Order: sequence, then structure tokens, then C-alpha cells
Amino acid sequence: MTNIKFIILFLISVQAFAGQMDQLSSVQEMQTQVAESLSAYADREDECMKSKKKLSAKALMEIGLSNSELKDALQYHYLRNLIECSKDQADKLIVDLQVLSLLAPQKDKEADAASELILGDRIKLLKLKQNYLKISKIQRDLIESLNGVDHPIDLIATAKALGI
Amino acid sequence: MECPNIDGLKFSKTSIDAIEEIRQKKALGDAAIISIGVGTWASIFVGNGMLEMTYSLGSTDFEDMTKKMATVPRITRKMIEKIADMTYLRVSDYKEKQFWSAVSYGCSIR
Repeated sequence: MTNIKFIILFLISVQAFAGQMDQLSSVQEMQTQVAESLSAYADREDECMKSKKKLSAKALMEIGLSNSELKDALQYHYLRNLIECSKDQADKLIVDLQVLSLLAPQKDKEADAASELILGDRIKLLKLKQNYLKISKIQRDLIESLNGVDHPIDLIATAKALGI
Repeated sequence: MECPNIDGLKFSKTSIDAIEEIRQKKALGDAAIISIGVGTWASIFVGNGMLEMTYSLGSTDFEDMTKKMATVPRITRKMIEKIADMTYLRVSDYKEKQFWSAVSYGCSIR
């Protein structure tokens, strides 16, 4: 009878240990996936930033915006285009981080920090959009029809060309 | 572009806010490194955890560490570039513009 109790206890322990090992290997696999997603996101961000191009100062001036409106419009399109440029890689990374956070709750603070790092720009964009929408629809349509306005923008070079 | 010498630079509220944002991004970046499981390395270098008496590290750990540790700072660097670009547009003082242009170029981390 004692032997049977011992065997049952032994089997329960083995099962619990195996469960823990499964959990551990899942966490390790997910960490590898997060590292790969991070690397893919970093590579894409590099590409996006390297592809920044100056907008035509002449075309922007012709729209007749005030300096303040010009700044609001440029900031909005600048950030929107960069977010859009690496959106697929960022979305995958955020999902992977959330899965890791659920698998390993002890890592949720670090995973949240990584998500916050990525999502911070999207929150900022919502605020910039509020200012951009204050510009008249006609002027916004003109801005949105500019060549290169839907691609990563070299903001400093554009600002220098505009003298703002 | 050469990294400039800027004398008598005074930060406006806009610049101070941007610097604070950069500090926050760097802190988030440091915390994020742990989430990618640099494993043993993270437990040694990142955070305030207790150091153990012994660690076992293989050559692949070194390679892995180098590769993974470099990823998050690359992302943080791009975040800083974005903040610098947008701050350049919002400040009006010439010296501040010079400063943010240099930060965008990467002078702050060279």
C-alpha cells in the first residue's frame, strides 16, 4: 500500500515537472520569436529612416498655410508615414510580446515596456492628428496630393528649405 | 554632417520636454531588453537583481548576447531620431535647431 502511494506521488511529481518544463520551453521559444520580431522591426525602421525624402518647399508654400499650420501638417505626415512604413513588423512584435507576457507573467513588465516603446508613436500621432484636422479640408486635400507626402519625409531638410 | 560645437545653448520648454521623452524611451528600452530573453546576460547586467555566485556561459551565449543586446538600442536610436526631427521643427532658436539637427544625425551617441 505504501509502495502504491509512493508511485502515485512520484508520477504526480513527474507530471508536474514535465508541465513546468513544457511551460519553460514555450517561454524560451516565445522569447526567441520576440527577439526575431524585434530584429525585423529594427531592420525595417532602419530602412524607413534611410528612405526619408525632402518635400518640395515651393509646392508646400503654394498651399498658403501659416507657419504653425505647416509645422502641424509636416509633423503629422512625418510620423504617420514612418508608423505606416514599419506597421507590419510593429504589429507582429506587439502580438508576440503579448503572447510572451501571457506565457510568462513574471516578464509582463518588460514586455509592456517594449510594447510601450513601440506604441508611444501611435499615441503621439493621435494628438498630432487633432491639430492637423484644424487645417481646412481644401488645404489638407492639397497637402495630401503633394508628391512624396505619403512616404517617409526628411523633416529637417524640408523645414530648412521652407525656412521654418 | 559634422557634430557641432554649440556655445551658450539654452533649452526652451519644448526642448526640455523632448529630452524628458528621450530619457523615458531609453528607460523603456533598457527594460525591454529583458523581455527578449538575453537570459543569463540580462540577469547579470540589466536591472537590480541579486548576482549569483557562479554562471555558466558558452561561446554561443556571447554571440547571442551581442546580437540581441544591439537590437533594442537600434530601435531606441530611431525613436530618438524621430523625436529630434520633430523637435527641430517646433523650436525657433537657431542654437536649439542646431542641437536637434545634431541629435537627429546621431551626434549624441557617437
